[in-house]
Amino acid sequence: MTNISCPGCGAQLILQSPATLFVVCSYCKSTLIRDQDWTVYGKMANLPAEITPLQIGTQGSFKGEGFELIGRQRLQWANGYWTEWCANFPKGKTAWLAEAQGLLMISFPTPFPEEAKQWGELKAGAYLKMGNTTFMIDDVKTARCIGSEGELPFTALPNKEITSIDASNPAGSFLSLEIVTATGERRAYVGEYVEFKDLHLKNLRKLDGW
Amino acid sequence: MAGDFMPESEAPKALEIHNFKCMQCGATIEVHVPGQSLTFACGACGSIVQEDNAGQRILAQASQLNRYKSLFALGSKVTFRGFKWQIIGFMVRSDAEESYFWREYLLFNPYEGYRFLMEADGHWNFMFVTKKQPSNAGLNVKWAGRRYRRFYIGNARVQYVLGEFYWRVKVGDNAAVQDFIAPPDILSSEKDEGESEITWTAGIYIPADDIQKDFNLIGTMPLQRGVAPNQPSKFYAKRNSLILHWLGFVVLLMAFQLIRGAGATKKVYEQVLIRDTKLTTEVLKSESFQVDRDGRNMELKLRAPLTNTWLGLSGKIVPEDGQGQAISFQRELASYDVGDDDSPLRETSVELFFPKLPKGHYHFEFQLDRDPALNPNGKRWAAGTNTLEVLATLDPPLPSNLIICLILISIYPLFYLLRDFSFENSRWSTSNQMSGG
Repeated sequence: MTNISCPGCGAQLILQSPATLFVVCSYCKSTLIRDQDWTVYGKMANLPAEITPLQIGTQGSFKGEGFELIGRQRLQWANGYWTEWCANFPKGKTAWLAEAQGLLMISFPTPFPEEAKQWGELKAGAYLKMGNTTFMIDDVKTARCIGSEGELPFTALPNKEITSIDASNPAGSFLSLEIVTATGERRAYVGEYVEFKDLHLKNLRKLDGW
Repeated sequence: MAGDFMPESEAPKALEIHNFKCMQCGATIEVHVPGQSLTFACGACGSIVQEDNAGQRILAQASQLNRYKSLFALGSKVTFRGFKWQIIGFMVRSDAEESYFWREYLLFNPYEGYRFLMEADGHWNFMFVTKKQPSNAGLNVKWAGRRYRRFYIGNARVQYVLGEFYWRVKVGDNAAVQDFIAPPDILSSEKDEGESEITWTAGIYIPADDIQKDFNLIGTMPLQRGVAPNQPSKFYAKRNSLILHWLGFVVLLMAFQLIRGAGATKKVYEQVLIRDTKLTTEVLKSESFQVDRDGRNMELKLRAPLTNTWLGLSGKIVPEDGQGQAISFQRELASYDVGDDDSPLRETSVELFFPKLPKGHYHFEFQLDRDPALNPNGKRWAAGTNTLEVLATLDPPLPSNLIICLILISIYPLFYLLRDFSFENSRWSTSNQMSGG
């Protein structure tokens, strides 16, 4: 854990992950980007309302390993929204807990597959190999960030556009590829669909009427 | 599960802030799942509002021609299968010909996600979206360790929407659908027109009584008609156990028969009769033998070694104790290296069956006629043609009470198998796929 002082409002912010490169100040909503030092980039508007029991500070465990949600980015694409929660595991390991259309997915960073580097070829129905596992591409979509919160290992400013490719296989695992339009950064994650109860979540947000 | 953190009376206010006014009629459209719902259908005027790519709500359809009634109040909550669900959407869909209509209810729980409750012809299914792709297995698919048989391929057209949905939907939208069944489970795929993504949903048949019990119905339960694609057969559930029990009974009956010593197959007569090889026609008489009880069946095997000749055989079973008439039979044996159709002919033995012989002593009489052309000068017949092997055995008798027992224990299983068969026939009568095996 690192303590920083928000350059915008002076509030003390405690960072959970050494991998954090981007912070939204929980007090003044300043967006902070780590370069040599932390600098204010702008202000984050409030995220649109949504019903989710997850929040920053929610703790859970996956396959016996504990984690805590430390940040999130909300994305919008042509057919809806999804949220990616940054889950901080011990020893600086991060994973993503994605929440989309009532489904939960957990995924871990993995090297970007060589085969996918000519990603212009990638379209729904095509096959992609990752080591010994073959995935089928479910969809290729363009999405943009509509807001973020907490701390993240990359910048997640509003309107950042990405190409997002989802692939899956009959075993129930999935592969997610992200290419940032502006910078060409590529990220790959492998993971699986999970049930809410399997994550043993606590410190959840209370929901009216539920 | 999280409880309410506000007093009950204040709780709804917090939700009201998400509601908005219908652009068409000004009535309030409730929003139960902000941040996820993309379609909202006005309960007052039937207009359909959708969120566009920029997150703006726009009028997608100004009104809906047909109106259908939801069986549940939208926005109401029920506890079903262990979780609390809010019923947020109602949709009526039909096939492309608009000859078959069904109803779908969208259920939401913030922890569990979405479920679909479907009703067709009074039959119910409870379904969820699965991202686990089934694997192909011929016409069928395999999913979660089970084999699903293809039942239906067709189209689904939206006829009516009410409430809110997490996807964009309006009247007239078409999707290509496929249903696969492994009763009571069902697996469906759906591909929207113009989209490449296939959505798979899995579900289970729900007895209408469970819906009646757990949900608050507005009006009456729809009348149940026919057999649903994945309706479990109560006949099928009992089938294996019935067959096992039936077999058990049959084995017991047979064992009982054996123990009673009614006799297994019993050899009553075996002899090799030596023929006089100089005669064209001769009569051979066997020794006497005994049938120990009334009603026994006799099997008689006769064999004569022949080489390129034939043997006419007229036989009689002659009763010796006045227990009825003699039983006659006629057969012909033959053996030729080259037969009528140029292939060898070998018919040197014959088996005869005589049912229900009365008890008493018997003997056989065989009149043998040989081919006179082979013995024009009254010389000896070729070697190997001068014996007639006779073997007579008695089957264990089937007492009539055993047969009655067999019939009695078979009635119930047979009735069930017939019901099962007719149930499966009704099921597949609504399928547009071959029923397979």
